[in-house]
Amino acid sequence: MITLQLLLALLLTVAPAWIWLHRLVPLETPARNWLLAGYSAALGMLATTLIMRLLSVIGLPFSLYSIGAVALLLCAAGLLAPASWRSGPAIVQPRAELPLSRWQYLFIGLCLALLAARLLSLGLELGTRPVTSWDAKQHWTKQARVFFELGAVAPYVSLQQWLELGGSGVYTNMHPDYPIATPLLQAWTATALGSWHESLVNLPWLVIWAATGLVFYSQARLAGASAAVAIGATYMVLSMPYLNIHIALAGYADALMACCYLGAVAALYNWSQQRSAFQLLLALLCGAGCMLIKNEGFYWFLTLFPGILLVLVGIRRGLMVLAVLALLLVLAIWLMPADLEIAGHSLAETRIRYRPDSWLSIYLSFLVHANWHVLAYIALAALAAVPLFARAALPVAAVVVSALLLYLALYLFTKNAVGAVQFTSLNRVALQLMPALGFFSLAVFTLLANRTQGSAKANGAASPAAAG
Amino acid sequence: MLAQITHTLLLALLFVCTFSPAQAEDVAYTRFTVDLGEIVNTDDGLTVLANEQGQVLLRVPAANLELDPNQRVRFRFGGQPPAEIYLLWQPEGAGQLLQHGFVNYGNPTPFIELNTVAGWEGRVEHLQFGFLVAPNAEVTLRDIRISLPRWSDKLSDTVASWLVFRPWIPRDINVYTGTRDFNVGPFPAPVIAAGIALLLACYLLLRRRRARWTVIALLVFCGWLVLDGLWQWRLWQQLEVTRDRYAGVDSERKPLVSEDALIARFAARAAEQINREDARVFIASLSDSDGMRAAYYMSPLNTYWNRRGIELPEKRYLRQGDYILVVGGSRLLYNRGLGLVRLPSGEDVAVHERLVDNVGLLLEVKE
Repeated sequence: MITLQLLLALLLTVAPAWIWLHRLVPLETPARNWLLAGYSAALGMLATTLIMRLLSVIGLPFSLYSIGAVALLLCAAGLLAPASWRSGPAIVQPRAELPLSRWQYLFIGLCLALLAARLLSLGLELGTRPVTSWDAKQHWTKQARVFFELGAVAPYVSLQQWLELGGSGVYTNMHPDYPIATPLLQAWTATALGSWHESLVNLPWLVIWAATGLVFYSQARLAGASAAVAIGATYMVLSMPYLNIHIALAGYADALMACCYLGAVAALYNWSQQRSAFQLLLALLCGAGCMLIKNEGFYWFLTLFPGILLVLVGIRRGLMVLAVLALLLVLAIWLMPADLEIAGHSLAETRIRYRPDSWLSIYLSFLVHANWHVLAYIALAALAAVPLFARAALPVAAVVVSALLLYLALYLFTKNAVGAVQFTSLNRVALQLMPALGFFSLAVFTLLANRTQGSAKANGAASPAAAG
Repeated sequence: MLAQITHTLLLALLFVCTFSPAQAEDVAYTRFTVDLGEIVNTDDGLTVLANEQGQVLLRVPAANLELDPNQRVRFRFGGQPPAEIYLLWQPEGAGQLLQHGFVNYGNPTPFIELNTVAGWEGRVEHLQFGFLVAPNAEVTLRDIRISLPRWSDKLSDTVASWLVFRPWIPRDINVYTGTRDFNVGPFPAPVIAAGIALLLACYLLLRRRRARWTVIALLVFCGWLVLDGLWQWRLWQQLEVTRDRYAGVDSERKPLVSEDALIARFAARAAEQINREDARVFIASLSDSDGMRAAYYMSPLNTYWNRRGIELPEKRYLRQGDYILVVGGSRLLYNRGLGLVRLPSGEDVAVHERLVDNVGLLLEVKE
C-alpha cells in the first residue's frame, strides 16, 4: 500500500510536467525520453510545491485528492495544448552514430552497474535512517512537519514578530525568510503516505539524485557526447561523495538546488550551440526555479544572463558589455543603501571586507578533500582550455565563471567567511554548483574531442574512434 | 623509453624503502603502572577499569628515553578504544608536566605524529598516558610504541587512513576528506589526481599527435574509480551500521533508538502532557544541539527557540497555558518550592511543574 501511494505521488508529480514538456520538446530530439524524464522530475517537484502554495492561498487543505486534482487539471490542459507550440523540427538531428563496440557495451554496463549499486546503497540508507542532519531538524523538516499537520502552508516570521503576534496563526524559526520548496516536498510525501514517516519523507532526495542523472545524461547526449561518454560522465557526477552524503543524510535544500542549476546550465549550453528555443525555456525555468529553493537561487539565476548575453550579441561585444556591467555593479554596491535587502540579504548584514582566511578552506575543499573526487581538477583544466581550444563554450564558461566569482565573493568578502573557516556552509554552497561544473567540463571535453576528430578527417587521416 | 622510466622509478622506490633514516628510538611498552583506574585483567594486554569520571592513567618506565619531534606514538587497543587519549610528560630539568590530548574516533590503533606536539623533545623523566572512556568502563591496552616511522610505516598508515570506516557523525554533512582524521593527510584526492596527471603526461609524451581522447578519458575515469571504490566501500559499511540500528524499527520509534533517544523520549513525554494543539512551547537551553533537537521533536507544536540568544523573552510575552521546556543546561533559575521561574529579564513567573527527569523540565505558565 505504501509503495502504491508513493508511486501515485511520483506520478502526480512528474506527469503534468512530462505532458507539458512533451508539447514543447521536438519529437526528433536525441535522448528525448531521458530529457523529458529528468526535467519532468525536477520541474514537476517545483511545480507541485507551487500547487501546494496555491491550495493554501485558496484555503484548500493538502491531500492526495486536492493536489492530485490540480495535477490532473494540469495534465488535461497540457494534453489540450496545441502541438504547434513545439519549436519546430529538432535543430539537432539525430546523429548517424557508429554502432557501439563490444568494449563500449561493457563500459556502459559497468557504469550502469555502478550506478545501480550507488542507488541501492543510497536508497536503503535514506529509507532506513530517521531524519538525521542538523539543518533538517533545525529548519527544513521541522517546517515540513508543521505544513503536513496543518495541511497548509503556515506563515513563518521572526522571533520578535512571533512574540508580538502572540504566536497566533504564525510560526517562527531562525530563518523565516527561507523559501519553502524543500519542506513542501517532504510535506507532500507525508501527505501521500497519509502520515508522517521519519524516513520516507526523505524519498524526494532519491528522486532528486535520479533527476540529476537523467538531466545530465540527456543534455550530454544533446551536446554531442556518445552514449558511453555520457553515461561515464553521468556516473562520475552522481558518485561525488558530498552529493551522496546529502542524499543519504537527506533534508537539506542544496541537492535540489544543484539539480535545478544543472538543468539551467546544461540547457543554456545546448541552446548556445543549437539555438533550440525549448532549451532556452528549460534554462530559464530551471534558473527561476532555483529561487524557490534557497535565497541564493536568485544569484544563481542571474549568472545565466552573462551566457545569454554572449550568445545574443556575440563574444567580443558581449564581453565588453559584461565588463561595463561589472563596473556598474561595483559602483552600485558602492552607492546602494546598506540596509537595502536583495534576496534576503543586505550590505549592512554582509559586512563586506576582504577575508583572506577563507582561501585555505576553499583550497582544501576543492583540491585536497575528497568531497568531489577529482572534479575540481577536471573543471580547472576545462576552464583553462576554453579560451584556447573550445571557444564555442565561452557562453557557458561565462555562466560558470560568474557563479564561481559569486561563490568566492561570498566567502572572501562577506561575514559568511566563518562558514568557510569552520567548514559549515562552504561545501554545501559549492554542491549547488558542482554538477553544473561537471557538465561544463564534459561539454569542453566533447568540443575538444570532436574538434580533433574533425581535424583528422579534414586532413584525410584515418579517423580515430569518436570520443567514447 | 617507457620501460626505462618504469625501471628508474622502481629503483628509486626500492632505494627509498631500504635506506630510510635510521631509528633513534623504537620503544614498546607492554608493562604499566596504573595511577588512575583498577587493573582487571592482564592476560591479553592490560585491561583497566576506569574511575567514575571515566579516567585511566598509566605510567611507563621512561628513564633515558630521548624525545624526538619526528617520533610517533602508536597505541594498540583491544575491544572498545578510548574516546580521548592524553600524553603527559616531564622533560628532564623542566619544572612542569606537559600534556597533549587528542580525540580518537573509534580507531583501535590510533597514532599521533609528535611533530605537532609542542615540547616533545629532550630527555624525559616522567611519562604517562591517559585515556578517557565512559564512567566505570573498561579499556584494554595491548601496547604502546614510540618510534621513528619508516616510509613503509607511513605508507601503511596512509592506506589504513584511506580504508578506515567510521560511522557518520553530525559534522559529516559538512565535509568529506576521505581520511580517518580531518586534518591529517596525505589525502586521496590530490594523490590520485597527481597519479592521473603523471599517467596522462607519460601517455601524451609517448603518443604525441597520435594521442586519443578515449584513452585520456579512460585514464581519468580509472582514477575516479579508485577514489570511488573507497567511497562505495564506506557507504556499504555505513549501511550495515544503519541497518543494524534501524532496520525493522517503525517510524515512531526510530528517534527513540537514535543518538537523539534521550531528548526524543523526553519530548514525547512532554508532548503527552501538553494535550493542546495550539499550545506554545518556549524551549530554554544553553546547548545549541539540545535546544535544536528539543524544538524539532516537539513539532508540530508552535515552538519558540532562540539559538544563541536570550533563552526566554520578557514576562509580558508569556501567558497562562504556555509551556517552558528546559533541556540540558540553562541559566534559568527555578524555585520548585515557590513554583517560580526567574526569567533572563529578572522577572519571576509562576509555573506548574508538569514533568521532570534528568534530561529536562516541562513547566506550565500559571499566570
